[in-house]
Amino acid sequence: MCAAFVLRAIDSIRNDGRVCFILPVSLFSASTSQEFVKELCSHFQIETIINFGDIRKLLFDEAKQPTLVMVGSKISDKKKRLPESFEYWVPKADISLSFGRLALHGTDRHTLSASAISYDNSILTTLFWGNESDLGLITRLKVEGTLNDLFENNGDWRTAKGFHRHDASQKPVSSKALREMHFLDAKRFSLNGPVLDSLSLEKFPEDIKTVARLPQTLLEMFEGPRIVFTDGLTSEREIRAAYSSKSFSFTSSIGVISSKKKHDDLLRFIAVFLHSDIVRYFIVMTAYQVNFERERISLQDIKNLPFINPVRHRNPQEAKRIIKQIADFTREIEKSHHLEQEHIYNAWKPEAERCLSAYFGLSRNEVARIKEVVEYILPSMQPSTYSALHTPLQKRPNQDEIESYGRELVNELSEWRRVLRGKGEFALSHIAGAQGDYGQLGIAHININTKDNDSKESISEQDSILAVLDFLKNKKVLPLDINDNFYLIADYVIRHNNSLYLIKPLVRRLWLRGEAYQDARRIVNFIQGRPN
Amino acid sequence: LSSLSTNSPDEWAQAFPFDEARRASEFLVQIWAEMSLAKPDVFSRNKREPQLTEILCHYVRSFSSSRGRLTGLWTNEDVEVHVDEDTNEIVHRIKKDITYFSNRNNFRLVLIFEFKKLKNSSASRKAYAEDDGMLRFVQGRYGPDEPVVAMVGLVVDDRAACVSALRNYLNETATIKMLNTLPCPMGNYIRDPSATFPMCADFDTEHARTIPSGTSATNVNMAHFFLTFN
Repeated sequence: MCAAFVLRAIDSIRNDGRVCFILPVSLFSASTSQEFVKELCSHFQIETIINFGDIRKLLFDEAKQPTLVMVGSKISDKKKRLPESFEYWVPKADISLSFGRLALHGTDRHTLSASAISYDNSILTTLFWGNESDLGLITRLKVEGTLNDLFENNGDWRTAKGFHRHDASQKPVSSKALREMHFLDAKRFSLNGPVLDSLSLEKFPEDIKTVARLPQTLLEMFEGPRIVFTDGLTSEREIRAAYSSKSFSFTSSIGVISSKKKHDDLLRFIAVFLHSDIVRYFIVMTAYQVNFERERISLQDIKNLPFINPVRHRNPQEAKRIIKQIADFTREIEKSHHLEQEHIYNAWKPEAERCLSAYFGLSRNEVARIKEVVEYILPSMQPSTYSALHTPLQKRPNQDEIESYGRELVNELSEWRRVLRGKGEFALSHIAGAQGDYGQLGIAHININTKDNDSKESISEQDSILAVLDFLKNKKVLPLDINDNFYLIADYVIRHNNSLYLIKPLVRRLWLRGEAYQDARRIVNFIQGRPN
Repeated sequence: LSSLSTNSPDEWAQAFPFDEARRASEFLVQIWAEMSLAKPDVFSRNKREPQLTEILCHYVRSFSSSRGRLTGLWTNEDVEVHVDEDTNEIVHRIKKDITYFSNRNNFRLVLIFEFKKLKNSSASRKAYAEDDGMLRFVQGRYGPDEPVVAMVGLVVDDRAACVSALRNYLNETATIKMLNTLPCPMGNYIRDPSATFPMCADFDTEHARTIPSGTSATNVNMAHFFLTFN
């Protein structure tokens, strides 16, 4: 309906006429909307998309539908066109929301080419919480392969859903073949880490006398080594997936990945992988529904997860060793007492994460980025009430986090300089906090090519920076009042001789390692004479 | 905010020299080399040009900032429309293969990459040079404001043979006349090695545009790249 309304607008406005739509986020971001987005980009020159997905539970009193605003103009056939780009704004649930103000930080703004979303609209989901570095990491991982590649290229692997209880188009068949085996109820699906808690299994329900259909191929999915999963996530946004080789049936609320016994190690490895930080990171960065709608994961989402087939791994021997190590540990979990299994798994999980990082060839920086997304961003997504706004991302960063940010900023600046074939050495002098009418700000002081004794800023220099901040505040650009209750909280770069001062609010979300990447890019843009 | 004061030489500017056109070109060539090796079934000589440029643009765009450290944008199949100002009718509409651009503030860069599959055949060389290839730059139907453009040959047959035959063709008198090719000070029409993108282009050619007088017609410098399949 919305799509039709948008397309109808093409006929209702003049060439170059401007439009503004309030639309469901799904119309732009869902994978099923790709064709529509392509069509839309051929008719409208998009100027701005503001995605309010993170505040969907707070934006309107009643409506929970994630919303976005699109502003654009009808493309004139006869007007000379420049390559098209647009602003993508992704405001987050921020403390200021409880004061009735919506704040947009510099890090919440991206510039995209129209052809990027015409080709692949998933970039709108990735850049919601992620940045261009995340986009690069996700693409690199997917180039190596996906779970779907593993399943499709080898007849040993099968995916399916359990049996349907009813199907109006078919004559029901007896459930007799299932009554001798156990049954797994999706509502009682209980995990001990990556292996199925055998106490979850129960007698086949007596009230299910018939099922829609029961072909042999489906019966085979109830036996042998396999991974079962529900479409709902755990409260920690982990996939509810577990390995088991016991015989049991289940309804279509549960999906299954099965393979031959010779792939038992790999199945166990995949079960652990599905619980990993890499997968949780990937879900945040790519799964449209988890980001903006009901938190469910489909079989297709699982198939799209990056995965390296061990036979195509750069180091097959090492891949085999890691897979066996992880598989053996899942066997130890299975052998242990039911009440100890969860504890044993949690104690072992860091080692599993290290093994998985090695398997996927993740760098130290990539591992750190994945960890911060899982630790801070994931629990902060879509707060449901105003009282829940004080998420981990909204807290003040601690000293370790600030220092980690500072080191990463210098590393990133150095990497830009290396690739740009520039010269010079950077040093982070210090990061200070400043409290004033403008709120609490952090000021990162970066020098280039200075000796230690040159890098200390003088009292007068500190005063000058604070004076500039006061000036900005008086000019009402700190923050910038865009509209009655919409503020742009820009990050400022101020230069004095060889010193750069990067100034931004002192909240954790702006001092993550991922932000160091964004800030380095911002500094390069500033030096090269262009705004971010 | 502009800088409060600067020293000379500007050490921050030396740290981040601005050289995006060169780096964008080299990056595109690098990603083609990597991806055609990693995904030969996707970057296959059997695929059509639009399919190849679309997927190449996707990968270039995805890695552009994180690996290429480029701050501009990539676009694929951007439409360029030309209108007759007297009749207000559309004269032609051309889709550009891949464009790298940055149009922010005091800075404008548009670098068009025009892709052509190149076989070792006369028909293929004509397609590269004539109406749907180099000639449309020369006639101002395509990128009329750009001083530098890139022709990218996707070499289907033996690279050395294809490129050698193309050079010979571009050096023929009739071709020089058709493309208004300008000689370098040494008198050569093929400028080898490339001065525009020395790290990734095989050679350059320069052409006088044949746009009607009164427009901002200038010469156009074409850098010629040749990419191979795995």
